[in-house]
Amino acid sequence: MKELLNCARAFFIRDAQNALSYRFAFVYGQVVSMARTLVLWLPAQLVGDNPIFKDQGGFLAYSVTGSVMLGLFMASYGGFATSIGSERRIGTLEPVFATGAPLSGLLLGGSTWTFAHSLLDVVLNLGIATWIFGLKLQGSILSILPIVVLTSLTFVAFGLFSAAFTVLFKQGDPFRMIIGAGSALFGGVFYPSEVLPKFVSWIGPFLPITYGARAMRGVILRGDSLMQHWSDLFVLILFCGALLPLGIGAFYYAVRRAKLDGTLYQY
Amino acid sequence: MIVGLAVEIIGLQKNYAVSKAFWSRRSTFQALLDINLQINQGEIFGIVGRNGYGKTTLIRCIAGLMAPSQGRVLVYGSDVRGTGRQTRKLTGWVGAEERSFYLRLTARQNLIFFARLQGIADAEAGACLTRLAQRFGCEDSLDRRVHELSTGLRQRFSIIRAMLHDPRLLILDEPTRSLDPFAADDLRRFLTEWLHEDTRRSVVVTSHLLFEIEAMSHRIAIMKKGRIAASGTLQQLRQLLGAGQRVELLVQGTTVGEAMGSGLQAVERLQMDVAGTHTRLTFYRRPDDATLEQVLLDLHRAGQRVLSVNTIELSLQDMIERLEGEALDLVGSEGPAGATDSTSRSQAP
Repeated sequence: MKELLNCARAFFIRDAQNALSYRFAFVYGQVVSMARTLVLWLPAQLVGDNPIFKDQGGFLAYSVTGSVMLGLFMASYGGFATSIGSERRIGTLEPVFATGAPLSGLLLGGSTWTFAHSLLDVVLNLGIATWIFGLKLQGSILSILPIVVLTSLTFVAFGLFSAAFTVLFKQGDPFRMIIGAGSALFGGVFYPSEVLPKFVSWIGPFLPITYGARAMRGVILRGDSLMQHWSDLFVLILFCGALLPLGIGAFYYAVRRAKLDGTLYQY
Repeated sequence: MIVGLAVEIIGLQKNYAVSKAFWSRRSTFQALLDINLQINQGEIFGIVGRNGYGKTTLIRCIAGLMAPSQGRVLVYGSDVRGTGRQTRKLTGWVGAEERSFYLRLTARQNLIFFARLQGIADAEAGACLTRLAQRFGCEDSLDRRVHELSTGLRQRFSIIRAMLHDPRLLILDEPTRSLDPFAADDLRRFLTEWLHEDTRRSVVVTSHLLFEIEAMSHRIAIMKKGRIAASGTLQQLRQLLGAGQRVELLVQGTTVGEAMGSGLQAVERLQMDVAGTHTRLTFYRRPDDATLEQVLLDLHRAGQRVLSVNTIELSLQDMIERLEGEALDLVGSEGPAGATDSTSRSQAP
C-alpha cells in the first residue's frame, strides 16, 4: 500500500509540475473548462422549464451535473491508456519500468493528476452554476462520494481494457468511442434517456453512467438519501465486481504479452 | 545458483514477432539463441558485436525489461521472469535511447521523480543526486529543464538515475555514446572505483567503442547473430581464436608473391598488399608457434629483404572480424553458445 501511495504521489507531483510548466495552456484549460457551464446556460434559457427536467432542478442543473460527471468518469476511464501512450511517446516508459515500481502503482499513479484535475473541474463548474446561475444543490457534494467512487471504478475497469488495448496495439482505442459517446448519447448525461427513440433507449441500462448520474442527481439536486438509490448502487457494485477483475487480468496479460513480444516500449 | 554470481543465464532464447507488410502474417525473428552465460560479482562484463546481433536484447532481458521466450535469467539468484520487481530493485539501467526524461521538467525534478518510484525519501534522494551530480560534474545543470541540456548532459543524468537507489548490478547500453572523451574517461574510472567499493557489485556494459571494452572489462562476450560466439578474458579470447598476434612484415620490392611461389600458402590468413616500392605482408600467429620464424626464413631463402617486423596483439576488433569469417567454427558456433564461458573467473585486468 505504501508503495502504491508513493507511486501516486510521485506521478501526481510530476504531472502537476509538467502541467504548470505550460502556464498559458494550464490557465486557458481552466477557463475553457469553466466556460462549459456558461455554454450550457444558453440552451437552458431556450429549453426553459421543460417538464421533463422538473424534478431535476431544470435543464441547467441536469446538464451541468451530467457534463461534469461524464468528464470525471472519462478521466477515470482514459487516464491509464493516456498515461501509457504518453510515456511511450516521450520514451520514458522503459526507465519508469526499470525502477521496479509495482505495475499497479504505475497504473494508479499515471492517472492521479487527470482524476484530480477532473474533480477540480466538478467543483469549479458546480460552484459557478451555484453562485452565478443560481443552481440550488439540495445535498452536499461529499454525500455523493460513494456514488462517484463506484461509478469511477466501473470506468476504471473499462479504462484497464483500453490500457490493455493500447499496450498491445499501440494506437486506436475502440472502447473510447463506445464508452464516451455511448455514455453521452444514451446514458442520460444531457437529457433523460426517456426522450430517446425506443430503438436506442434499451442501451442506457447497459451503461454504468446511467445509474451513477441518476443516483448523483437524486442526492445533490433533490436531496435524496443514498438508501433511496440502493438499486442504482447495487447495479454499480455488480458492474465493478464483474468488470474490475477482468480489466486487471486483461491489463496484466497485455503487459506480459508485450514484454514477451518485445513491443512494450514501442510507440 | 553458485555463490558469487551476479547474473546467470541458462538457455536464453528471445523471439520477436515481426510483420513485413500490413497484410502479411507475422513471422518470428530469433534475436537470441540459446545463450548461456555467467557474470561474476565484482567484474565488469563487456558485450560487443555488430549492430543487430542481440546485445541490447540480451541486456534488456538481464534488466527484466524484456521477458525471455525460453530459458532463465537469474540476477543475484532471483528469476527476472514475471514482473521481475525484485531484480529490478537490484539493478540500475542505462538505456541507449536518447529520450528518456520528461523534457519540460528540470533534471532535478526528473531524478527526484524516479527516486520516489524507487521508494527513496526526497531528502535522501536530494543528497544522493547532489553528490552524484558533483561526481559527474553536472551539478550546475540540475535545475535546468532537460530540453535545454545537451545530449551528453542527459546521458550523465541517465547514469545518475541508474545509481540513485544504490544498485548492485549496473547495466549500461552504450553508456559513453554521447559523452566527450574526457567525460567518457571519467565514467570508466568511476565504474572501476564503484566496483571496488563493494565486492558484490557488477557491471554489464555494451559498447561499439572496442578500446573502451578492452580497457575496462574483466571479461568480454562477442556476439554474433544472436549467439555468444566467444567469451572470456582478452587473453583467453586470443588463445581461443587460435591467433594471438597480428604480424606485419614490410618487404622490399613488389615481387614477393612471385619470388615465394607456394612457400607462403600454409600461413593462416595471409594478406599481401603492394605499397609503392614495398610489399606489406600481414598474417596471424599464435604466441607460441613458429610461423613468424618460418616466414622470415622462407623470405631470406627467396632472397627477399625484410625492412621491418611488427607484431601486434590481436585487438577486439580483429577478433570480431575473425569471428565474422570461418574462424567462428573454431569456437563451436553449433554447440551451446557460451560454451566458451566456462572460463575461470577473472580478477581486475
